[in-house]
Amino acid sequence: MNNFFSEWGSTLITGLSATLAMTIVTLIITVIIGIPLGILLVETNVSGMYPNKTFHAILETIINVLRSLPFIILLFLILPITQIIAGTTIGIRGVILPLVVYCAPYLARLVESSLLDVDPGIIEAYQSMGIKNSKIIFSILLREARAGLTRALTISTIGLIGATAMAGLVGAGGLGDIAYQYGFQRYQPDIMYASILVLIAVVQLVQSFGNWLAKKLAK
Amino acid sequence: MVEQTDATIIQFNGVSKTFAAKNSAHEVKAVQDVSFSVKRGEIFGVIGYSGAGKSTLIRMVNGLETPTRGRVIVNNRNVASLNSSDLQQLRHRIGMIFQNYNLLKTATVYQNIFLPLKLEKIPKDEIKTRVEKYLKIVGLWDRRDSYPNQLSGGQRQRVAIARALAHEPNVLLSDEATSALDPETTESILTLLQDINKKLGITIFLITHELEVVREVCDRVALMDQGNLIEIGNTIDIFTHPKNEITKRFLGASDSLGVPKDLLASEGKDNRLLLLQFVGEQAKKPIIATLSDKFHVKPNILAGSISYLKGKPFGKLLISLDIQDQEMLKKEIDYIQDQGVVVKEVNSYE
Ligand SMILES: Nc1ncnc2c1ncn2[C@@H]1O[C@H](COP(=O)(O)OP(=O)(O)O)[C@@H](O)[C@H]1O
Ligand SMILES: [Mg+2]
Repeated sequence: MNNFFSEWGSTLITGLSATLAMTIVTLIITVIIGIPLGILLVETNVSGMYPNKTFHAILETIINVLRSLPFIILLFLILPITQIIAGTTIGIRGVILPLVVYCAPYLARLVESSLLDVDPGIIEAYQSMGIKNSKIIFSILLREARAGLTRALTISTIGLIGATAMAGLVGAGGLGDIAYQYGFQRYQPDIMYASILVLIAVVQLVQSFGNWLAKKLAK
Repeated sequence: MVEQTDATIIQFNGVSKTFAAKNSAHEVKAVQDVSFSVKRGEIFGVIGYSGAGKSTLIRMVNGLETPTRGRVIVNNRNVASLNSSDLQQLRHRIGMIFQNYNLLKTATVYQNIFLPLKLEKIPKDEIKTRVEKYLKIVGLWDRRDSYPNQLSGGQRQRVAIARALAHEPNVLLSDEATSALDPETTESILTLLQDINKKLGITIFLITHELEVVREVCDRVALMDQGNLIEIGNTIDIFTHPKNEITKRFLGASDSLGVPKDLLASEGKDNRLLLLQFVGEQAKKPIIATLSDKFHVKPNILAGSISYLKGKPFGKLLISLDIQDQEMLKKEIDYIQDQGVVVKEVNSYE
């Protein structure tokens, strides 16, 4: 055991920190993009506060197209754009954009469904009190949806961690990459299993924390 | 056209609302050419079956729906013509409560009242004063730290009422506010609404499908059916003298009080069937006993009922009187009427 750690400990830690770095940076950008997108999906729909058929149809199409692409395809498909925006297509820097493009539409859909879960009667009650729609969205709708939003974020984060496993393809490293490099290519099953176990532990942790927080916020 | 006066707070002027039906070719005429007005300070109720267009009607008062034709004028302003900031101003003066309470489940009772006022940018000290004042009025100050799901339906409706009052409106709209509550809780909410009307001088415009609600609290009532205003008047008049057949049917006001037809027919052969309606003090007078002493007749009592009408006892009695002596019969009827009782002849073949 001790042997194992002195041999692989630092590899695992490097892998874990690469996975965490990719996940956290992507998550922050995904939230910044995905939540507004989710709000737009709901509010530009016919039943929303700012119905706009054309805008809504375009948004729907973009999100559906992006969501139908597997991450691995997306990664290569947007290489030129990644090069322009990130200045590189390799390493952690080069994988953030594809991860965001993969994750944000997914989060937007989940945000949409948790916003739709808020009783429309509440929105109507606040409108009847003469409160501006924008205030209703940011102070009431998001607040009432917060447990659902937490669950949406949890699911997205786990999906995101899964996607980072493929980041090794562009040299971004991470736990998934370790499992692939050592386990598959060099056939060293102990390090492969160790990295998979760490990955499972991270996912478990995220899920449990998400569940706990959602429950606390639900009231 | 309804005349606009200072005493008028809400006025419907030839108002129609048509919805484009989603899955069928023809449209839904939810409200059709409705005109009437609600007076400042009264409790006005609209009753009707589900789907009659009541919610659509009340929602046009605060602009949640816009009329397809006609005008709704509230506090002297044409609701549909207001820009969004004027509409918000108007809405601050119109409270509304709903069947489902519509409280934030993520907020305590206190926050549920505090938050909307904060969003309206009312100074914090003022908000605190109001939250306390109105939570005390609805009797829930000691439950201020509870969450809505820790409260009963009646308590939740009280919170919703406090939330509406905290904006200090001059009209309170109620869309089936008691329809999800049991009879006892309904009773206590109705008492609260009457208190609010009397003590705070807030006009109440309510809609409901429950007869007891209008009978107990409304000064005036209108009946709606399939988008049309069928009958309007003082609650006591509508309940004692409904004119329209639909109103009668809705009020369950069959004059025979549910007595089977064959019994009515056999009793009606040699007798006159009379429906007596008493409101308030008369309900307590022993009119039948006095009648039989005075005229030496023995009226047969076929059916009776008693309920509350605007907080007063409201009794109905179906009796039969011997038809032999026409002159005597007339005197008897006159006597009953002199006691302030509403007498109506009932057809035995009705
Ligand atoms: N937003 C809407 N779109 C289409 N039809 C509607 C809408 N709101 C109400 N209606 C229709 O209008 C009619 C009256 O409804 P409503 O005003 O809710 O009646 P009530 O409150 O008396 O039950 C019903 O036939 C209902 O289906
Ligand atoms: Mg209704």
